[in-house]
Formats: sequence, structure tokens, C-alpha cells
Amino acid sequence: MARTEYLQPGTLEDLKNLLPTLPTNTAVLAGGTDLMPQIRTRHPDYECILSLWNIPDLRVVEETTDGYLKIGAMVTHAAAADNHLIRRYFRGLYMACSHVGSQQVRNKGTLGGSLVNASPAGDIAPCIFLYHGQLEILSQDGSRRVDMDEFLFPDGKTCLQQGEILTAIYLPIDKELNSCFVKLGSRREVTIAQISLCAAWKNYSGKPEVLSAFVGAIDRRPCAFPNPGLLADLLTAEQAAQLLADQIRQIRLKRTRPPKLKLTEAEQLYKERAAKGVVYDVVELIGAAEL
Amino acid sequence: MKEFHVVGKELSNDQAYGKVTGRLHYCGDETTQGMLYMRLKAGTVSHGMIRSIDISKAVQLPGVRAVYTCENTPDRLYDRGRVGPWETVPNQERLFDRHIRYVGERVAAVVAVSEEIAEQACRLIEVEYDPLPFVVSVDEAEREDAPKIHPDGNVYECAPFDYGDYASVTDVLCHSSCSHIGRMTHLAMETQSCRAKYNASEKTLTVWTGCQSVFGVRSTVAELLQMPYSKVRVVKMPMGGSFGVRQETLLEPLTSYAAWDLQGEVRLVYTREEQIVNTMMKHSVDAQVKSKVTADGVIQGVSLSCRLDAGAYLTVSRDYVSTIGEKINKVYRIPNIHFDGRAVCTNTPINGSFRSWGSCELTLCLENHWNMVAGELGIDPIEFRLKNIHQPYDEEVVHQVSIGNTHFEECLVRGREAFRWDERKEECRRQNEQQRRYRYGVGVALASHTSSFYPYRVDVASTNARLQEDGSLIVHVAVHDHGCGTVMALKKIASEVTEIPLENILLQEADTQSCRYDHGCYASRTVYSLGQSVKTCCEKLMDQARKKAAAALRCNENVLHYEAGVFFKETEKTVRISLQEICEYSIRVTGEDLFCSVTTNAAANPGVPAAHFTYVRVDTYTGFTKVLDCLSVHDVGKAINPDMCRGQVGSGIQQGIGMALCEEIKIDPKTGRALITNFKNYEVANAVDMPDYQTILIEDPEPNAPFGAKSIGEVVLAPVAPAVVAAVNHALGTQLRHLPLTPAVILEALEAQK
Repeated sequence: MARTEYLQPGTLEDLKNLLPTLPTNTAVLAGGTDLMPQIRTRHPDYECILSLWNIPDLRVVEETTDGYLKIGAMVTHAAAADNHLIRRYFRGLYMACSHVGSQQVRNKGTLGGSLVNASPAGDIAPCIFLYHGQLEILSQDGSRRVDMDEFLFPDGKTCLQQGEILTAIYLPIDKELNSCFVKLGSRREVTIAQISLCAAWKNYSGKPEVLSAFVGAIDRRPCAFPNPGLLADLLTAEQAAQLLADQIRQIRLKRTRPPKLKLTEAEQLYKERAAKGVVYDVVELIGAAEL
Repeated sequence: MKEFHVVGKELSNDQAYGKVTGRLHYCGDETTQGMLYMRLKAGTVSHGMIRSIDISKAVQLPGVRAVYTCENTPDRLYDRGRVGPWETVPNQERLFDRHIRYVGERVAAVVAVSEEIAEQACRLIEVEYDPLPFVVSVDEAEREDAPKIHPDGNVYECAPFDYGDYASVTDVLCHSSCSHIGRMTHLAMETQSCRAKYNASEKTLTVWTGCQSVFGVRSTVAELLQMPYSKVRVVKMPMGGSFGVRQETLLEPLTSYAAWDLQGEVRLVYTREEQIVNTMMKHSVDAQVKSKVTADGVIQGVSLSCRLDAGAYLTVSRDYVSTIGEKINKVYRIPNIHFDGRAVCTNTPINGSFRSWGSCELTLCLENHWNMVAGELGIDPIEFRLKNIHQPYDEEVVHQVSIGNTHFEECLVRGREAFRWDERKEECRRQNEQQRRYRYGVGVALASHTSSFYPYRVDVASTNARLQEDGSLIVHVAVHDHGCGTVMALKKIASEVTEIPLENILLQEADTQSCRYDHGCYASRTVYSLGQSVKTCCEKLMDQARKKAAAALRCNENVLHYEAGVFFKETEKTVRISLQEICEYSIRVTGEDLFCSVTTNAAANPGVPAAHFTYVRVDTYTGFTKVLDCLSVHDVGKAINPDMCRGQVGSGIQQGIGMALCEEIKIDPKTGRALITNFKNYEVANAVDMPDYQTILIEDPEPNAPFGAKSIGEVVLAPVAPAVVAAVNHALGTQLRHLPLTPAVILEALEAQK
């Protein structure tokens, strides 16, 4: 059998030095929650597996002097859900991390892995869009920071090139900002999102104003919610739900064929019919937070 | 009433420690020096003939010992479903067939020094097919011009059953309903595994497998290899759950053939994908129920027609259909009955044995129907049932045998009270009046099941018990513990009779070499049939011990009392002899080993009434159903191990909720391929979805049963899904009976209501 080289640098410096030497078919191992099943079932011929597991700098969560929260790419979902800074400033991200997969997946899966894997159903990407986050990418030439829009293209592919590694997420801290995340899966826990919705708002004179909202799992990458202001009030929730249903319908109509597991019309129409559920969940969370 | 020592006490499964610490070895954990590993290659066509199969690259791969295909294995047919050579199930299967009947069917196997090499070699095998026309749906397969999957066609009718004259019943209200159950996988935690070793010097074969019938496996393997049964030994290994998937002979023929051919030791362990696609699934069922009922709710007749999708091979499916009919009269007094059914082969993965063998399907279809009828008549569903249920010792009309000491009424009445049925129903009405996002509903269903094979098969259960020189006990009985603790139950029975402590009893599971014949552990017969055999055997052994004690103590055996391993004279308690001393006396003085061997034949098949009550909340925005609370009431006769009974109840609820709401293996309508081959996409009710269920065990001992115990392992599933379906329909005012009631199905129904 072909030999696969396994590399496990212990520092960012070591990682950086390795980058130019990596063969083209190198798999980057973060938490392994996607890579390991892929290796087991599809037997890809990787020449090299590069593990990021032993680099302490990639697990740091800290406030930067320029007003960001830096989250290392190798921070696991469980660690993020347990982190007081994330809980305080980015409640939506905390809520998303608390419900990714199962406890075992949360213990191993990382935020960076989720973003690089870029599954349309990923729970982390909508939150990074929501907070206007930036991503730090390391290459042999050094580090650069890009916006989420530049990192994740509309076709669902990332901007990462050969020899580039996602090392951190930067989220701008705004102490006035509140946020939430809900998802509709196939069940309550250990589930993959069919629709996820996150929203960020501030209180003005005791009333919430929703500044931004993003929807995940309905297209190849998260979509901006068309009129986030409607999420602030139960009276406009129905209208918001209709907007989201229309948005999902438009995306469905553009698809050339339905997803392989959606065999019946009821299944194909499910997301747009169920949009109301996530919208009302978010509206209720915003309403409850106000109190 | 006599106080039991261990029966009825809550003692955990004695394999639990080994399981949670990883010290218990499943077949797939076993490795020995020189052992070889097998992997399979799956076919890629829905239906076709193998035109060519090129194994040249595979055999050249270092480490590969053999590659098997239809071109180098015997053209010999066998059946995976039989337990003895006298059965007449049609033989349709070969180790490898040139004729491929579904996507995923095995086309080749590689045996190599490691699993990785075997798997890599499988990928190097090149197969070319001549495709044949194929049929995916049962509707297509039933058409006269449908492509034939087997020479005898696709449709296998079973003999209809009639009691009374359903057609002639008049002056009653007629009702009709259709129900559908989707394909499911068994969800056994351990995937199928088998190890076989051929001893070339003895010309013997040993097969280790987690199966439900060692004698069934032996019959198939010995005849395939044309070996005497005496030279084939099958040993039952620990099992990580069955739910029916280990009832049939699946991996053993091929693994045994390779071991025999290579004169070595070979192991095959299925992947999860193979476990789903290449074992068997639960049948998808379409059934139509018609009934004739008086205006005040007394059932005058029922007619049930059902159709099962057998998948690509018939295997046990025709028997499965018959079994649904055979169980039709276990719950209600019905004076006129008609049943007909058929199994239909399609170019899809095989369907077969599943927990409860027909009881869950029958219960789902009938209970859905009775809940609909009760609603249409404006009668409370519990009241409707109380008017129609069997009373203790009624005769069921299909086999014309007594249903035994069964308590359907008590199940319903006690359940109604404990579940606060009437109050809850009223609460639901009030909550639903407001037409808010969440709707609430309650549902009930009633079921029964078997406790033995009687009378449709002579139930044979044999036990050997040998007292050891230190007074401990070895018991051999062909028990196949599915992982649910039947070994512990039988040990408790042996301990209760002999008063030998549990830790001094070794009860060995099925092994064709050391155990006497047994059909296998299914039909929920283990505790009732094998338990009675163990009890009788231990009682006879103790009679022998008593005789020896009397001889040793030179007294009449009638004056001897027995307690905790010691015989003594009541009037002179110092005159005593322990089991150890009896054993010594027996061997050294009388020259006899103390052992006993008995065969018992269950001559009854008591029913096991089970009522399930459930309370659900349906989210009308997302279509999600949440089971908020549920209660199962089980008439078990006597709970040998109450905590394990409650564990079984929980597993039935979990599986029943899955059947009702989410579990389904979807089949690609264009190719017949299973679209769901992993647990990521297979939706099961998980721990978070499980309600805090309540259990009531009704214990009124069954005569001629071991300490009064009947069965529980399968019936726990039967009433759950129809109760959940009823609750959803109650909540929404719908008549949904096409399972599973996924959120998409529920939103579709709500859309239609608008």
C-alpha cells in the first residue's frame, strides 16, 4: 500500500516552515470529524496528513488590543461553547457551538475545520458572516486577514490555496451587540441544520433593532436575511417568515435537481414550509432577551 | 407467597461489566495468529448478469490469499432463513451469483493478511455487467409483464386464512383504512461478524458467530460444504443487539467456505454500510384493513390484506406474511376474520426478520384502524377496546389454543388511570382550541405477542446441568443472549431452584458441540421455553441430590429439608450434608457423576398483553412531534429481572417512536439503491428525544411457566408506533397512517387542511 506521511508540527513557526514542502495532495487534519469518515469510506490517496492538533497557539481565545476577539482555528466547538468571552460577546456563536453534532463531535471538531470544510449546512459560517468576522490565513509568506466574503465564495468554495492554513478567526467586539442562533435540524440534538438562522441586534430605548441576520443551510453559503428589521417584533414575524420562505423557494427553483434524499414533493418543499419555525424561534429569543 | 431469593430482584445483566469496560470480546474483536481477513466487493447494477470479472490485479497484490467470485465458488443454492434441514423455504442464494439482483449485492470477496489489503484488493477487481430490466417498486414488480427476478416470478402469495364468514356479516358499519410502514434498519450497535476455522487434521470446522440459532447456521453451512453436521461446530458469540438481524444465516456460509478452502482461519466483519445494505431491512408494508362493527362499537369482523416488499430475494418473507396472519386474533374477540397477504420481490436490498416478526406490523395496521373506527363512532378508544378484548384463557381462533392467563383489561384500566388518560384528553382539547403553534394529542394502542413456538412448531428446549465437585453448577442450554440479559434470567432460574449463588453458576450459551438441539432464540421464547427447561432440569438435578443426600445420611429423603446448599433433617439439624459433600459421596462412594439432562416442550403459548399510552406535542410550524410522556403496561406473568424488563420497554419505545416518526431507509426510485447507508442520515429517536417513560408490570404468574414468567423482548415494540400515530392524529385532527410521520409529512398534511 502507498505510504502516507504524517506531520504534526508543535508550533506555528514549524507549521509555517512546513507549508512550502507539502505535497499537493495533503490533507489537513483539524478535529478529524469530517476527514476521518472520508478516509474510511472513500480511501483518498493522500501523500501526507498534516495535523494541527499539537499547536497550542491555534487554541487560544483572547481579546486583541484593536478590539477583536481572536479565536484560534483549532478551538473545538466544546471549548468555544464553554468560553466566557465567546459567551459574553458572541452569544449566537456560543449557541451554534453548543449544538453542533454530538458531544463527541463537539469535543473534537474545530471552528476552523468547520469553516474550511465549508459544508453548506455548517453552523459556524453564518455566525462569522453575522459578526463581520475576519479570517487569518498563514502561508510561507506570513499571515493575512480576509473578510468572510473573500474567504467563502458564493459557490461554497474557500479562497485557501495550496500551502495556506486558516489559523484564527477575528470577531469585532461590540459590547452593545446581542445575538442568537437557532437551527432546524431533523431532530433536536445530534443533527445537521436544514435551516439555521442567526441574528444580531442592539437595544435602542428599550426596543431591539435587528441589525443583521444570516441564514445557513439553504444555499451553498450563508445568505443575508432580506429584511432583518422584521425579526424585532412578533407583529412582523409572519411577514419575516414569508420573506424567508420566498427566499428558500427562489433558491430551490434555481436548483437543477433536488437533493438526493428529498424524494417526495413534501420533502422538497419542507424547508420553505418550516421557515416559519426558525423565524418565530428567533423572534421569541429576541423578545425574551429584551426583558 | 413464597419469597424468592433472586427471581424478581433487580440484578443487572451479568455481561454489563464486560461491555462497559471493553473486556467482553465480540467476534469482531477476536484475533489469532495467522488469522486471515475477508472483505467484500459490492455490485453496482440494479439487475444484471456478470459478463466478466477480472481479479488478476487483486490476486497479485501482496498479502492477498484468495479472491472468490461466481467463477470459482460452488454453484450451490442455500437458504439463509432455515433452522433445520426439514424446512421448505426456497433456496435462492449462492455464495456468489452471476445474476445480480440489487445494487450492493456481493460480487466478490478477498481474503488477505489484513483488512486493509483485502479492501484494497476489492477495489482492484473489475466487473462488467450485462444489465437486465429491473423493478424497484412493488407496484411495478406485481405487473404481469414485469421483469422476473427469479425463475418463479416476483410474487409469492401466502395461503389466505378465514374464520367465520367475514363477507356475510351485515347490519353493521363498514370501515376501511390503509397503513404503510417504511423500511427500517435494526440499529444493532455491533455490526455483523463471523470467524471460521478449519482444522485440516480433524477435518472439522468451527464457526464463531453472534447468531440466534447455532443449529440453523450449522445446518446451512454443513450442507453447503457437504460436511457431516457432527464435524461442524457453531459457537454463539456475545451479541451487540439483534432486533432480528442475527436470526438469519448471513456471513457464516462465505466465511466458512473460505476457511475450508484455505484450510485456515478467516474473519469477516461488516461495515455499517454492509450492515444496512447486506443483511436485511425491515419490510416495507402496505396493508388494507376493513372491518364491520356495530354502532355501539362491537367488532363483528375484520379483513386484512397486506403486501410486503421482500427485496431481491424471498428469504423468510413469505413466512413473515403468514406470521402476520397467524397473530391476527391475539388481542380481540372477533367472530369473523379474513386474512390474505403476499411478498413481492423487487430489485432492492433484501428485507427480512425484524423484532416481533409481524406483531409490530399487524398491531400498527389494526390499531391504526381501531383508533380510526373509535373516532368515527365517537367512542373513546379505550372504551372501544374494553368492549372487544380477549378475556383470560380465551381461545384464539387461528391456532385454536388458549391465550393463557392474560390481562388485557387490567392493562387498559390501570394504564388509563396511571396515565390520567381522561384528564389529559380534556387538557389537549382545551390547549388545541386556541389553535396556537403547538398542538397536543394522546394515543393508545394494544398488542400481544408469543412466548413460545407452540403450536405452529414443536417447541424443543433442552438443558444439561452438572453439579461440580465443589458444589458449583454448570448449565448448558442453547440460549442466544441478544445482549438483553437472558443468560442472567436463566441463571436466576437455576439459582432460585438450586439455591446455589449466582456467582457459582456458569451458564454457557449455545454451542452445537456442548448443547443439545434447539431451534434458536426468537419468537420471544427464551425465558418461557428455555427457562422452563432450565427450571425442570435443575429440579430433577436437585431430586437426584436429595436421593444421594438421603443415602449418605441414611435416612428417608422425605425427612430432608434443603436450604442454601445444604440438606438437613428438620428434627435433627446437625444431620446435614452440603452439595459439595453430596458430590464427593456420589463420585467416591456410589461412583456416579451428578448431572441431569432434560428436554421440555412448551405446550402452551401465553399471550403478553401490552398497552401503550402516549402524549405528544406537534409543532405546526416545523412539523416536529415531541413525545412528552408515555406509559407502557405489560402483563409479563412474572418479571424475573424487573430492571431488564424496564430496559426492554425503553428500547421498544425508542424503536417504536423511530418507526412512527423518523426511521426510514429510503430507496432510490430510479435504481433501487439504498440511499441511506450510515447513521448520519438515518434518523433515529436519540436519547434527547426519549421521554421519561413509565412502566407498569402486571405480575400474575402464568401456569407452567418458569416462576410464572412470560415474554417481553419483542412485544415492547408492537403498540408504540400506533399509539404515537394516534396521538399525532388526535393533535392535528388528521388521519395520517403512512409512516414515518416526518416533519415533511406533517407539514404536507397541515397544508392540505388549509
